[in-house]
Amino acid sequence: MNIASDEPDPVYALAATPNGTLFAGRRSGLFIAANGTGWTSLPVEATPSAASSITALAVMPQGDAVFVGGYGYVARLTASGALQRVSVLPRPLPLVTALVVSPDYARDGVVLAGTAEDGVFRSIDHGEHWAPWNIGLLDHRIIDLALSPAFAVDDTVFAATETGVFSSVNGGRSWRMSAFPRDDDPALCLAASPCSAQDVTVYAGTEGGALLVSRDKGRSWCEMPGVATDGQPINALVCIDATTLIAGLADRLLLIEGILDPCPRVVQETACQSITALTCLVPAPDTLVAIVGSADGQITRLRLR
Amino acid sequence: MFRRPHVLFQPAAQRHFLRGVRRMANVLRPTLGPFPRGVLVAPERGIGREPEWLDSGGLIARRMVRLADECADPGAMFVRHMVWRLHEEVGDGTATAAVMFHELLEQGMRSIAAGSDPMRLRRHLDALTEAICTALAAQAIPLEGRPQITRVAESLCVDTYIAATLGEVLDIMGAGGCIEVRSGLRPGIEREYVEGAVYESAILSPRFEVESTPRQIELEQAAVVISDLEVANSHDLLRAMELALAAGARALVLIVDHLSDEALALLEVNRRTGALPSFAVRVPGLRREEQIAALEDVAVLTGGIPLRREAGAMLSAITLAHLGQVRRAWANNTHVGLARGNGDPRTVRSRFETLRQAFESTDNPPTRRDLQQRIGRLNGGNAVVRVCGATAAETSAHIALVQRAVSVLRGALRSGVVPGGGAALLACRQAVHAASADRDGEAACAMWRRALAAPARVIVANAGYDAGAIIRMLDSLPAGHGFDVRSGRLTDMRCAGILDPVATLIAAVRAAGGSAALALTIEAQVYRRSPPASVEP
Repeated sequence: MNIASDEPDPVYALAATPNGTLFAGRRSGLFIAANGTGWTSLPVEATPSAASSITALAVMPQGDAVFVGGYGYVARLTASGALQRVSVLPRPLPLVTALVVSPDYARDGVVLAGTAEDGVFRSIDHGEHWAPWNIGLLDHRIIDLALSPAFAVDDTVFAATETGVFSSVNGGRSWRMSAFPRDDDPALCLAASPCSAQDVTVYAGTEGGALLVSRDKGRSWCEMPGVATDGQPINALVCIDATTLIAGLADRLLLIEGILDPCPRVVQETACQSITALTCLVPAPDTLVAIVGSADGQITRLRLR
Repeated sequence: MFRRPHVLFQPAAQRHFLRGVRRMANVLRPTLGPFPRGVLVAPERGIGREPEWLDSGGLIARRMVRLADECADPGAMFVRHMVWRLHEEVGDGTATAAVMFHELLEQGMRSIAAGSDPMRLRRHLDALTEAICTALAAQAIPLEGRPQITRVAESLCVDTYIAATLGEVLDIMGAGGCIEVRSGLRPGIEREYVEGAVYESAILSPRFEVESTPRQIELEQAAVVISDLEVANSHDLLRAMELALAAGARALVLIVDHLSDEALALLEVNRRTGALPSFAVRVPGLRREEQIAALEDVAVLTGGIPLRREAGAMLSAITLAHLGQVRRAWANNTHVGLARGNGDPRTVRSRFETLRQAFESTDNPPTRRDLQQRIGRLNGGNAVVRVCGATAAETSAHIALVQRAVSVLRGALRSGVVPGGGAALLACRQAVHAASADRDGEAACAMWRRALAAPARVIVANAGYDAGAIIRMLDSLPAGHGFDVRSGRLTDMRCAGILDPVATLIAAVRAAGGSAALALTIEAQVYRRSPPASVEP
């Protein structure tokens, strides 16, 4: 699947709703593909800057709406793509790089936005008002955010930065450094295991190609054995279930199984160019489809099983 | 007043000393436990001043600068200074220490009267003190999460609303965060979180004062000149302004020692025309070393290089590398804030770690306080807790209470908590074994066993129960169980959420044990003709 364009139009973010509708955030704006067919541009108006780039996406837990982030704002759209609200972030306008929505969004209204230079912004009123919460966050360059699957109970959230991973146990209001084994290796992506409500298992991919795992709410990290990346940056991670992880490297996509075992194994390796964004669809219990976005603007569907 | 210096030897010296200790311990005893009783302290002088209602052992001891009974005065002052020092260091545990010290001294003096040797007793007491501290540390569990912190805060300040606020503030700010306690305008307790590194510093000129509400100047994407220079020449300042614009900054923050009128005029013109909005503030800190530390920390946070006069730096020699950058800066008449600096995160982390290690390795309270503030600023946020009571006396009592609770909660977050302070001390009796089976060793063990039971006895009695019967019941309970004086039931203290900071208990045990070991070796007391009032320890 490709969107024709004269200029490079990198894909910054991808998201899928439970009913299979896909959203893509690109330099040129927001695109939607209902039922995975045909991409249509969606205008996001009344934004505080002229830049049209959509740099972050997050689907609400029930799949009935999607949050999109760009330069200085977070907008909320319905699952069909109708714009509901644009909320401007406090000045100086930050560039949103990551968005996460609380699994208990309907009750707590918590949405977090990671930014390129300004740390983490937090909203507790369903994304209407935002405030920076950077206490303990010594690195403000946020690359990715991930929530604990039990966020509604444990308030745990992780932030990937240029100097490692920070974690928060109070819903993103204060942060603490983790013992990240690679200080000089920026963490590029995070994925929390959806089945680890007790211990909170979280995975991190780094620029140096290390795939790291923490099984203690991000306090300590270790490298996952058995996953050869040849030093290629791991740009995107998606945790499908307790045993399966998909990693998007700069040059290929890896399907890794047995991630709870002492030695996980790569069961499928697919060549892909410059992966920048990744999301997954599970149309049937035994089917897994990866949607891969790349720096050159390609969006590809790959059937993994 | 004695007409001439007066010397008393044993046993009279010990008798009088013990009388003073007993007097002071009896004043502090009612403040122990979750149901403290107050102590009303009359104003020292001045007609019409309100008496103070206090329930903090440290503050009560500070108010007692002299006893009318001159012979007992040295004993009372000995306790006063022990308690005050403890209050300065950990903020709490003063009544616990006083009660244990009194018990150790009573038993020790009996033992000496029965033939024990004071020096051998001292050695045994010192060894046992360390064993008890180790046993306490072994019982510690980490303090985590808002509910647990709130429960510990409740045991410190009784007021559930204050405890809930402190639970939230400490959960967010952590042990090393900057927490300021100020008097508020509305009755009750309020809290506010301020982003960035906040320093006390004045805007240099009234021209920079703003009429807007709140009275605060806000700048975005500002370059920061970090210096302690006196800026007299507007040409030098112009160079800094040109560099700021060349660096892509939209505003300028000047940290300097002094600005001439000429330089101020230049800043003001550019501020009014919008060419380069700016403000100038004085170097934060009163002492020189404080100022140097502030400049270095700002440099790390903003990615600049400080221009220091000791190093012969001049503003005319400023380069792009000297300029720090922040995403947001603000200043009002008393404070300046710098948020989201452009400093290298690795350098910030390294500085943070260095300061944290320096904090861990020093015991000097003022040094620890300074380091605490620096760590808090690097941490990127500040919490302001505002407290207000119905009267000035109530407000100051609440401020003192909140400050003490914050200090203790910091210690609890660092070192952990034990299930029930009184119960934890009782459990330590099992660790009290004499190194050698001599008579003095046995006596020291017996002294410590009684002293360790004393706080639980007082807590129970203060809550209105029969202490003797309850302590006998506690003896048969498993570890971690105790008597909850709120519900009046025997319970698992951890499950009931009755937690006490282990650092406070260890400090109290050390203070009581060390002071008792020393006091038992007193052979004579010298009374001066006109003894000075006891002021500072």
